[in-house]
Amino acid sequence: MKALVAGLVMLFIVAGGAAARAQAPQGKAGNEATRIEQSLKALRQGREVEANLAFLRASIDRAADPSAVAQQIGSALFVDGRYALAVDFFAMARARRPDDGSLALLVGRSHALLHQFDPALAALADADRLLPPGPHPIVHQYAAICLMGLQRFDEAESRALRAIEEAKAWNAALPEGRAPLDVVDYELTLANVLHVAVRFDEALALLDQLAARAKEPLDRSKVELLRAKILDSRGDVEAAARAFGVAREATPDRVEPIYEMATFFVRRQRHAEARPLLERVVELDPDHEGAWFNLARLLPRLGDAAGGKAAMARYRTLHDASLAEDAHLTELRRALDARK
Amino acid sequence: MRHVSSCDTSQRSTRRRFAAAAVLFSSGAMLAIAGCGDAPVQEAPSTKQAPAPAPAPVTPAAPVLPAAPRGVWYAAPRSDDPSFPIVHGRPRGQVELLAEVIGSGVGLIDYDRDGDLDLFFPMGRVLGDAADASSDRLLRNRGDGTFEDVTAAAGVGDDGYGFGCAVGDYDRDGFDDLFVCNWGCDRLLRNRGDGTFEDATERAGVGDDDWSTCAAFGDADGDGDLDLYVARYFHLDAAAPPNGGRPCQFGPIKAPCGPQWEPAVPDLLWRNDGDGTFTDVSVESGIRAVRPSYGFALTFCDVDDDGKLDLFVGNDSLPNFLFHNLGGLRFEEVGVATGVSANLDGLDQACMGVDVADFNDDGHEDLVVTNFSNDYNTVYRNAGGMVFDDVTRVIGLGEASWWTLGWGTKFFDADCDGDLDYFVANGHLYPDTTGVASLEHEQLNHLFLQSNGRFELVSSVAGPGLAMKKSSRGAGFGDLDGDGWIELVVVELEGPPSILRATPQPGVHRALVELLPGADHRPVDHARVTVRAGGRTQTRRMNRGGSFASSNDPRVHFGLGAAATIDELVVRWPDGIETRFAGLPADRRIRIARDGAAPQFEVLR
Repeated sequence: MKALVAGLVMLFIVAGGAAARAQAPQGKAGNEATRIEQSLKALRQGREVEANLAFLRASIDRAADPSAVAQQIGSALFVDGRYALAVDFFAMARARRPDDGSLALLVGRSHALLHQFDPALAALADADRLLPPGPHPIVHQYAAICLMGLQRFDEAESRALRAIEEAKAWNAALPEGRAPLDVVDYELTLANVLHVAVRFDEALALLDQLAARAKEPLDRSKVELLRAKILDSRGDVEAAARAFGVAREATPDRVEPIYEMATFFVRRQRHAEARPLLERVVELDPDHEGAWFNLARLLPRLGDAAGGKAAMARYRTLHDASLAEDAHLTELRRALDARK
Repeated sequence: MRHVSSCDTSQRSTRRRFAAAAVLFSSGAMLAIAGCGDAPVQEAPSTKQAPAPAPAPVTPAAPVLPAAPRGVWYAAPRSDDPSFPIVHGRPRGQVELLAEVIGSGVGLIDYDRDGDLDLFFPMGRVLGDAADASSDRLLRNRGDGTFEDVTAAAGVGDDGYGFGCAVGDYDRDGFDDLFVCNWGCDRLLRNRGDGTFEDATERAGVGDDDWSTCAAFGDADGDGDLDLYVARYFHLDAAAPPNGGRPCQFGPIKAPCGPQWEPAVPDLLWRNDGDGTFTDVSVESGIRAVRPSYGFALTFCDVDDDGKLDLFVGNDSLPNFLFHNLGGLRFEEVGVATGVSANLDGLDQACMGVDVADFNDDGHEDLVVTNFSNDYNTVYRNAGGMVFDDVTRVIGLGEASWWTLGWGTKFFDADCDGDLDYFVANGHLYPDTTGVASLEHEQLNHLFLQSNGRFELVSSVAGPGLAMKKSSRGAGFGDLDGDGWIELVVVELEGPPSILRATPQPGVHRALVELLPGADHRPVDHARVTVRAGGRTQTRRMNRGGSFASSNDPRVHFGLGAAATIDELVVRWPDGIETRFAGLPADRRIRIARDGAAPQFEVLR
């Protein structure tokens, strides 16, 4: 049971990344943040490494407050789903700005996504205390995720319900110029709590309701993806495959359901079914290491030795770049440490 | 290139080095023999022609309590078990270097050839404590369930900073020798055969002075003697530690900085020259044709079953290596190509322990690695044709390991029902983890029983020995008491090692196959044994290696369940010769020699 939680929490990655991006600083600081993000992306791709490293080092050196740079680097990594690295940079920033509620929230969310639930809950409690008064559904959403991870399901359900209510309250009193929150994301959190609590029927019933209400293709895709995972957990393999298919068709260009469906087939040795999905993933995201790795191993088994070799080469290139980037980020952490 | 090193202690005292660091920190029925394929065949009478002498009757086992609800029961360590702590650094709260939290392994070795397994523990030390007299330890198995410390008498009390050990008869004198992996000079301890060892490091030329974590003996070039592979980690200078000596961040806690702060040190392959010396062949063998990595666990294997030993090396946070043996002491690294370098998503894992075994009895050797917390231990099923699949989730092992940090590990038949079960020793790396990050420093060790191809965690119903929470590290596996059930020797980071004795269960049959060299003492390590009994075929290998930093029982264990007879037993020796036996009795220790002598039977207790 405890471990079932582990595989499910990551559902919230995409929503979390988007929110982090939304909190990127604006104006001149925003330009700096954008350049930092671009430099980090270039580092990951192995482009102009020295120049980009030099820029980032200079950003650290010239910043009046290095914690701002640390937060910007952390945000860029967070958006990229690299939470373990992000949290280090957020922690550096927070050490200098302990009363910053939004920073506490980022730390809490990073820990939650790393399944470090206790420190996540502590940081989220800080965020709740430090953020300006008003609804903060994301705080309760991530608290629900943590409590779910700790198998405190009643509390998790309660916090998920509160997150839904606060999201609705936020939308009801929407400040001018701000986009409404997608309440479905919060309702999916509740469905996932039920899933992890092995209340499969209730979770599926909730998803039925959400599916009936979901108007946006993205919402339908998220709902069906979670349905597929619940059905997989329940051992209903063919129904899960169908749900993956619906999720994929709802958003044909969204990588997550396609890759999830592909690995679902790879695990079951259904290579012919996995192949077109993996090929679609790398078409959409040419830097997707996991898809290239699986293609490299799967194509030769389907008689395409040359394709397998090419996929292997691509995986190696991407993987080597990732390792190099890790080394660069370690260097940046050292530079930030030195600024303390 | 011949790289000879003796790490002359008169020149470089490890103790001095650590003291300097502290200043900085202040702180048969035989024998039908038939060939198979092109394998050479040794002539011998058939089973039908030469009935075996009737083995002695088995004394009925006394009823054993408590009943084991799942057919396996591990008792708590006994009060008269060894109580010395495994010293591996400064006490909790004072730890500053990664070396102090990694822990060590155990070597199971019948050094005195009295028929039972003795225990060798590599040991670290308390950094900066000049009074610390910690040394490696050797415990002699008295054969009555107790052990005596013979460290001094045997002359194995090396005071290097020990991690792993390997066991093998490198000089073909009939007595198993020891290789000790140290942070600092490694040691080769030659067994003189009189109960004592001599330091043969300098003469053999295998004294590497960097940080070795584990090693394994194997006849990599098929020339009839044991070569040696040594996995190395990174260059750790206690006087100039990573990150300038400042701690790193692990989630919310401060922790010793990990390997990524320092460049990796490449592994070593030592060729046994047959005259008591070794030559470093890392470059010409192809072992060095890879990016240096953080080697942490390894085992010899034969994943393509071609009779030539391959090597699987688990690396910390970098891709694992699978060195495919091309013959002629040439290896090709095929980890990524075969799918064992990383998990299903192509992500590198932390890899603390490894094992190789045909867990699904399909005739191919599968691999497993144990990993960090918030990650799963990964099982790679060998699909044949040098292709592996990450099947961890499909066989039920993906979820239970998520929260634990795995170290020593092995597939073995814990309940003796005929299929391989799975054990992992767990404990978090960082001492201050408890209470944060939903993790615990002391963790439950995991025993999974296999049933119909899936594994189920049974630690909570398999006896008090498995209900303890400790910060476990290395683990050695073997039958310590001669009953044909596998004991677990688990090394704990803080406190004495745990000897977990399996309680025999009534009505369950098993066999322990001991493979012996011929008169030439050519090692028989990694010989393959196939048993057909009760309608099931099991293929196992004599393999001491794997786990974490440990060396296991060389005897080949078979659980036979309800089958009281082994229908057929086939040994494929390292030289390719096959020896077949039929109609062997169960519940025996079966000694089979390479030279074709009749097997000897000893009733299991």
